[in-house]
Amino acid sequence: MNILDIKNITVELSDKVILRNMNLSIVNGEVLSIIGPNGCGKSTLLKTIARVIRCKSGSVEFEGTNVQSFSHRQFAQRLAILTQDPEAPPDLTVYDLVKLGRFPYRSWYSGNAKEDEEQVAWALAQTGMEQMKERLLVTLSGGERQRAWIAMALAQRPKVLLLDEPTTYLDICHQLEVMQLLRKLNRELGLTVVMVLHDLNHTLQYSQRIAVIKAGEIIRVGETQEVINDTLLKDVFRVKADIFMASNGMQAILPIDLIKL
Amino acid sequence: MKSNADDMVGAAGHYGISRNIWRGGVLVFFAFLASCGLFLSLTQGTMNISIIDIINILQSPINSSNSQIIWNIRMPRTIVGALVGVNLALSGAILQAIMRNPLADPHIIGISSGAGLAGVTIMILFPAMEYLITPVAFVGAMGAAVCIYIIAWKNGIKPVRVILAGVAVSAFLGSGISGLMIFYSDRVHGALLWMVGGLAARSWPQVTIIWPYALVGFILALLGAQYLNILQLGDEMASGLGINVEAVRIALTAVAALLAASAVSVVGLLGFVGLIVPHAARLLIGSDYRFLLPASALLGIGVVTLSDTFARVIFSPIELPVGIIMAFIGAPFFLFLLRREL
Repeated sequence: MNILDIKNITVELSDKVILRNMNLSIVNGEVLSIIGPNGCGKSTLLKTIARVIRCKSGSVEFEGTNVQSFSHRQFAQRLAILTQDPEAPPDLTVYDLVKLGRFPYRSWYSGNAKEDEEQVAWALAQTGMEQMKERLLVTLSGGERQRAWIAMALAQRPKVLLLDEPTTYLDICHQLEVMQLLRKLNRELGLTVVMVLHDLNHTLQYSQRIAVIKAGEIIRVGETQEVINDTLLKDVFRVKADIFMASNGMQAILPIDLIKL
Repeated sequence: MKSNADDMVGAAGHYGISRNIWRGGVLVFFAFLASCGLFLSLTQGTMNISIIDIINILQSPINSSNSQIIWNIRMPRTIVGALVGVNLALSGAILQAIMRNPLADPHIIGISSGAGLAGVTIMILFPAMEYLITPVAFVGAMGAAVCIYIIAWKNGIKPVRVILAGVAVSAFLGSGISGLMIFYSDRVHGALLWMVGGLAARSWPQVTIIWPYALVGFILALLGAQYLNILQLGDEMASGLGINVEAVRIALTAVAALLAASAVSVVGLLGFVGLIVPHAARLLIGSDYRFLLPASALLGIGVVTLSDTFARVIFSPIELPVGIIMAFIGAPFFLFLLRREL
């Protein structure tokens, strides 16, 4: 069953077409990666799905309902987005941040404080951040901070989590930590994860399906292991790469050289 | 680089329950400052009236000159000063969050230049209609704010476009103010006082004008506190958390504009309160707007009433406009903050 259907969307930013007549379906409970060269429209696609950017034509449907027909709060209860390198005030603690994730469930005249506390505790537990909940966000390492943001997104109790390059600026250990956390959330909670990634090895290891974007259009969608091959790397990224089997039975790639046009 | 975080840990970085105790302590301290300001503003002045006399006068108004001074001069002036402090401080605090810029204050949305040009025009060109100065300045302030918003609008509002439009419109209106002052240099005295901002001769009519804005503005600002907290995470995250960013930004800018416009139309262009007070409050209490807004309001009361008392007493019987005192203290303090933060 599809949880999100992107139907023939065209997105323009300052009169420039960024995405053109794009179609994509996201299956409930999958991990889908979006890859493509810089400036191809990956982040724009993510923001359009999250309703941060409006599309000029076409529609995005969540479980068959046009996303525009949800209220802002209703939508935030269904879908959460983590943008690249989000900002926060210097005196915000992990707990404060995760509590903000309960905003879609609160308003100035209503809200369930006990329920909120439980959900915050749950989100902290899921991400392994209970011990660090009193820490200031700025004092955390990059990986811990990313986990704190993921905990905030979880506190929204979304069905879909969108992430824009969640491993940028992290060292390989923290990259792995974040990717494994996302895999765990996907498997244990059935959370649908859609992320923009640069590291093709991460997509091979952690995502079942992949959508490849080039110049505002989706050129391939499918099983990750099938889609990533010599021709694709050549056509999309202009690199020649070795593809081999890693010790865990998954494919891995090593870029060898640029292909001159 | 010494990070901001270390400073925050030093100031307010005690966590959990103790962090709330710290915040409570800061609020009590600001409330104490505000009380001192109100008390001194009421008891100090050119006329020496003993505290016992003042207490008697407050309990039973009598028809003496001292009673007149307390009830019709010092009391309303103190109230106007306090409310102006509240309005400008809240306005600045709100704008700093929605523009996500620590330098934001009521100036950047054109409040000062709009009120300034309107006020100076009345004073210089239509001195006979000086009784209209407050409503006209209010219209000028709101007009400039709306104008800047329209100029900055392009598929929505980006804070940086508001700031740039604000600088441009303020410069444009400022040229009008300067032009008037040069062409009518014989009439500039009142205009100059207005440009600096002062509380002299402000009485009950001004209290009547400003208190509804202060009350409604304070309530709306507090209702918006959690929105302001989330807007600090950036537009995209705020949108993802279920905020209609454009609508909230317009609504809160309107609240900030009304707060500031009602203040400057009554006392003239008081600088620095809207910039300095929220900054100082933030340094001590942190950036959670549920605490920062009341803290800014209390500190605003304290700063304006204390500065005004100072302005009245220091060269007594000559009285300085409170705006001069505040800029004189405010500017060095602002530099101190900048050195601390950058």
